[in-house]
Amino acid sequence: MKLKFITAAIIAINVLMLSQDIPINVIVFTIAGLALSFLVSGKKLRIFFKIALLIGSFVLLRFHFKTLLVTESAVSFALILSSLKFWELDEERDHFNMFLILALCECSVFLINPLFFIFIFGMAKMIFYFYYILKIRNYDISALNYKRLLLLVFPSIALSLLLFYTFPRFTSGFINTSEMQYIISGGNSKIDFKELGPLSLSTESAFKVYGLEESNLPFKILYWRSSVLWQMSNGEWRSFNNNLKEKNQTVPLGKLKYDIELFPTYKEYMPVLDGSSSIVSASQNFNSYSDGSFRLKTISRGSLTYSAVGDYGVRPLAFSSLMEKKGLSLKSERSEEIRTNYFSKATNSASDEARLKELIQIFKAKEFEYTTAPPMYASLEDFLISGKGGYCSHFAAAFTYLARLYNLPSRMVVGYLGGEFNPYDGSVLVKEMDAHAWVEIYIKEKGWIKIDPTALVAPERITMSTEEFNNRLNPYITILNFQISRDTFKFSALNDFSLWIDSLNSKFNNNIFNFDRDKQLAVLRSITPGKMSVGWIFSLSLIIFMFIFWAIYYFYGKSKSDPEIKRYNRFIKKMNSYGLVKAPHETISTFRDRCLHSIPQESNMIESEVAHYINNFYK
Amino acid sequence: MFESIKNYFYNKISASRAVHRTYIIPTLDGLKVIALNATLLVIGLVYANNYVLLFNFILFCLFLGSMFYTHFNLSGIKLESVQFPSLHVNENGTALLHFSTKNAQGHSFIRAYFKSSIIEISDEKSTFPIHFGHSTTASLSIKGIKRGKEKIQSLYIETQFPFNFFRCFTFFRIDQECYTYPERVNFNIHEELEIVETSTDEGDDFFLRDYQTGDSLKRVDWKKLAQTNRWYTRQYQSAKPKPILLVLDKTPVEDTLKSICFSLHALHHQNIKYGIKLKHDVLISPENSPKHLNHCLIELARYET
Repeated sequence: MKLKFITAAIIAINVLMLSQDIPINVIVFTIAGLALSFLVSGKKLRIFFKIALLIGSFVLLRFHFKTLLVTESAVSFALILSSLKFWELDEERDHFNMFLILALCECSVFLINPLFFIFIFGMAKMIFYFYYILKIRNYDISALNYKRLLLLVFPSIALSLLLFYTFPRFTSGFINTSEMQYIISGGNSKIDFKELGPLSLSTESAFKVYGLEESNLPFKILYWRSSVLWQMSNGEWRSFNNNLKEKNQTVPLGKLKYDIELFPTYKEYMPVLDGSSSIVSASQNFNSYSDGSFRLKTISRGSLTYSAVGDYGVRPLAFSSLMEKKGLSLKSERSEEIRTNYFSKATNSASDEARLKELIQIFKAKEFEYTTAPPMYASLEDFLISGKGGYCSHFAAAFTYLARLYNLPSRMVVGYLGGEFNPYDGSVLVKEMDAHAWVEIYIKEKGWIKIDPTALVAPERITMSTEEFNNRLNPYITILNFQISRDTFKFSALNDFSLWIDSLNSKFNNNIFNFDRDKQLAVLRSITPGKMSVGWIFSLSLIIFMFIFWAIYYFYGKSKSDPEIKRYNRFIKKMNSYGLVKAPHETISTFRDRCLHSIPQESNMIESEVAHYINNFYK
Repeated sequence: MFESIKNYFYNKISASRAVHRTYIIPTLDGLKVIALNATLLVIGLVYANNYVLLFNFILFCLFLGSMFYTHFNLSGIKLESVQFPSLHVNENGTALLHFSTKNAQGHSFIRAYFKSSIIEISDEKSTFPIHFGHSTTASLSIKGIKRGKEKIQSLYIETQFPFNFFRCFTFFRIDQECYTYPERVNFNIHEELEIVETSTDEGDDFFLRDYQTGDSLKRVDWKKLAQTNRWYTRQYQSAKPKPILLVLDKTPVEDTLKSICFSLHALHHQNIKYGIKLKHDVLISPENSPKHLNHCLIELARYET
């Protein structure tokens, strides 16, 4: 019964860990399956329910995922399967089968959240579960004492690490995720204005940057550029930058050189410092565009690392008639209504710069308000006419719209704003909650000018870190009608600890998760003579470790002989070298006499050895 | 030189033949783990997910490690002697197995079993440890299931410790002859014949008292007279019961055998002489001794219907 509750707890933890990545109806189905198993008694009724739930799960997955051959469907099925197997945990055999299903569930968790601590937690869960399975077996776990356990576990882990590093990685994965479409907050390739709901304040890590610790950049207010949204059509903004693809990327001579580790969420664009950045190397294939964005050829599901060079704040100069056309394109049926509403009193200066200053004043005069939970607007035009509250995406989209309407080539840039410096590994961590959007306006004399409309509405959003700003915006947490100040939960030690954990996680991720084919070849070539193939190294490792396993158990099981007997045997052996062999019927004293007679020069040694033997065994 | 090398290898091969062989095969659990390993390897390769691969390798290496461990847990074991009791059907007994070992770490959770149609092991899952340094006596609870005689040829020793992924086993030739006697049931369906003895011997159940005038000279204890030079008379306690012949002459044979078996024990404990007559095949004259009881029971066990 105890093990049954442990099983239920493990399934519940898996549900929690996968809750963000699998549909809510799968979660409800799994929890309901667990709860029902406690309520339904009677053998026939249980069998009926189990079959009904199994069929129901197939229907649910088919209905939700359309095709069952997607990862999320398989992960959901593994989770549902674990809750259905929970119905028949009677014998020891059932628990072992449950262990196998839970192992598959753990792998689902690793697929969706490939983080080192998730892996360690998963391993701990499995070991804990297996320990209880051993306990319910017919033998007592105490017989597997710590010495024996270490003898089993240490070589196993050493061998598994060796196999892991030598196993030939002849593939970088067969699953192509380019067909999958996901909405990503800080690296979107599109924004639908109608779908802009409350702002996501997820503390999930988006990416991490190394190499900037001595750059003296203000990390809290750094702009990180991801994608550029050019096309506006019925309130939907899209990147639409395919025809701006650069055949050969020009690498600018920047003073900043940094490495970025992108965390495993479904990223389509690669964030870089806003300015003149170029990516010099990356672990996955990508395209670069003349608008300063870098797009992956396939959506990144796992971790991705790349190196970039450039300068912060140096504006990209690329401009063309195509860009001008794109930057002025505005497909809106209500453009005249907006023009009347906003620009009726505008002077429409000849100079771009003057018109921009005028536009800024017009935008400010509207007195928008910053809020993390604005109402849903039916269209961008509705927001421009009657809206008040919004956040960066609202303001950036509105400003771009107005700029185009005012004949200023403009584009919306999506990325991140801010970051937190981690002194433990010298990295800058940017979270999903730092996602931001701003605008670039082309001014003939100056090039693409960065305008942040959010700064025009709420300047402190730019000067403060996202977290500080949000805490200031919403200083209280409401729990059961009680308002608790956020300061109550602020512990600097806790923050330091979380930074330390984060740096540790990054180190492990770099050494384990990002160990791909190229790294493997580089490491193995450097430590093996010649150009030994990975397959041979793997086979040899396996054979050598099998031999080591055997040797460990051979010597562990060998009985240790008495040191006094060893000494006696050495003495007998030495006498044998003089040609003196002790006969079976001969006593040690008679043998001594014979030896003394034959080799008198060794009399001292013979006397002492024989005396020692007699003392030990006969007195 | 070639001769010495030849002798060396010849001796090595002879020695290897003399080594007691142990066998190791994966259990059903082990096969399931292999299947899981294959599945995880495919998932890890398809998604190029290193954590799935690492998890897979750890599981695989624990599997390999447990293979060595299970084999280690059985190697070096030696059966010194074995003692099977004879027992009745549906009655329990204990077989004694004497082991010794060369393995300095001893052995844990060893299970012993044998193939027999007349005896079964009461608890098939029961295990016992074997310690290094002195011979261990393991008790194996057995139960008679069918009347008869059988030669148990081999005793199997196996272990699945620690993870039940592998089953390592070995067997020893024991050629132990076993009997299972009929069940003891008080059906009282057999025939009992009282045998009238022609002998005047009144048995040994007497005590001595001083000789009195008129006592029969037949009852004078002459030996005592010779030893002590005093006259004693033998005073017999009671009349000695007459020997009984237990007869099997009708069907159902098996039930009758059970009934005879019950009576045999009852008569043995009452100190009455008994014999058996099994149709025209077996006739054992009345007697009362443990050896005689054993003789009768063996005949009942091996009686062919």
